[in-house]
Amino acid sequence: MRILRLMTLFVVFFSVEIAMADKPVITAAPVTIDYSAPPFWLASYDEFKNLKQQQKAFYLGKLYPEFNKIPALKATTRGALIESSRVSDQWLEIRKKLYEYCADKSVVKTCDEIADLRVQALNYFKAAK
Amino acid sequence: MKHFSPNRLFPLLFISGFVFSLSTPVGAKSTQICRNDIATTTTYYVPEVKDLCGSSKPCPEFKKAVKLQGSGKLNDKTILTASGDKIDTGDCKTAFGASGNCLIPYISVAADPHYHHMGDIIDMPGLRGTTIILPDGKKMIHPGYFIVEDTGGGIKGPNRFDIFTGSHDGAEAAQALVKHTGDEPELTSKSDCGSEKQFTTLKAEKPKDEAAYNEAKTAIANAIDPDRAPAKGQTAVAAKESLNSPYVGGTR
Repeated sequence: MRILRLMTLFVVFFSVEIAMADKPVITAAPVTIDYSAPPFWLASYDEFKNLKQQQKAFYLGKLYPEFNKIPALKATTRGALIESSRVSDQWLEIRKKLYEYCADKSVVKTCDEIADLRVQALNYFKAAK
Repeated sequence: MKHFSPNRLFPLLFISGFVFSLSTPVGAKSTQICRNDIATTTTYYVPEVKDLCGSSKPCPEFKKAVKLQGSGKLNDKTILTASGDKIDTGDCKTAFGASGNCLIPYISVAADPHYHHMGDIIDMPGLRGTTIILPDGKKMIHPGYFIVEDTGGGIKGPNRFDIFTGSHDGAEAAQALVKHTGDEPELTSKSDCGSEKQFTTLKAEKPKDEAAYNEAKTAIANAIDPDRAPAKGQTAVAAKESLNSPYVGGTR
């Protein structure tokens, strides 16, 4: 009787294992970034393009040191950042890397600091009260 | 009849509070009054030294107005900011907004950059067709759209907008946007949350409906200068370029 019970357990265990093995492996879906929804970690290319020269200099000057904290952007030199700010596709590439990094909630402090630089750059020339 | 026991209600309140905190960007302290789809509006203007002081020398009244409004015009080409900086406005006849663009009276608005990109269009159908008296005395039939071109320290929240009125105080002047008769929409009072201030946002960032975004730009260009408006169906870039034209150089 005991042997029969053990055999039943054995069969149930392996049938569950086989059933699990048949299931397709579920991988994480690629993260789709909605740049139009807050939080806005980085200015869009069009938004940046329209800024006054002083605003651009302020923004890029403050952004560069922050990129040192981001592995995917750490290798970006100051010159490369300035160059990227002039080319839509290159700016988008930097933006994508930053948004991907900021998808991790544990780095929200760094990302908030970067997002705040955009607001500071905009406020540099605000006419309103 | 089923009813909630406190034991069930508290987790619900906790979850809704958590969801609300997630929907509020960090750093953005919302001071909104009206519900999210109704705009909470005020107006601001760029005072001119010659209007307030009678000369080109800044008087206390002008300085007070600059502090209150954020900036003021010293002369045709120089703006004085509340922080004391002097900005060369070049050919811009009004002032530059945070976006770097020349502000257009009754079209440009300041909004919270935590919720809006510069260039977002605020569609407010309740305002469409309202006659506005512009600072230069000309009339404009309002297209029912505003463009986010500026920011402001006190402008916080997704539905908080400060409408640029040019060089005069729209709240004091006999403007169509101010409720003098019973029928006109009032945009100067924060506490007025009437349905005429219901709005939607046409995002500048890859607009879901690009045709609607471009149509709005064309309608704005048409309203501010019918003679120089772009043709219907013109690209956003071309429409955008013609938008500020009446306030950049020219003889308006």
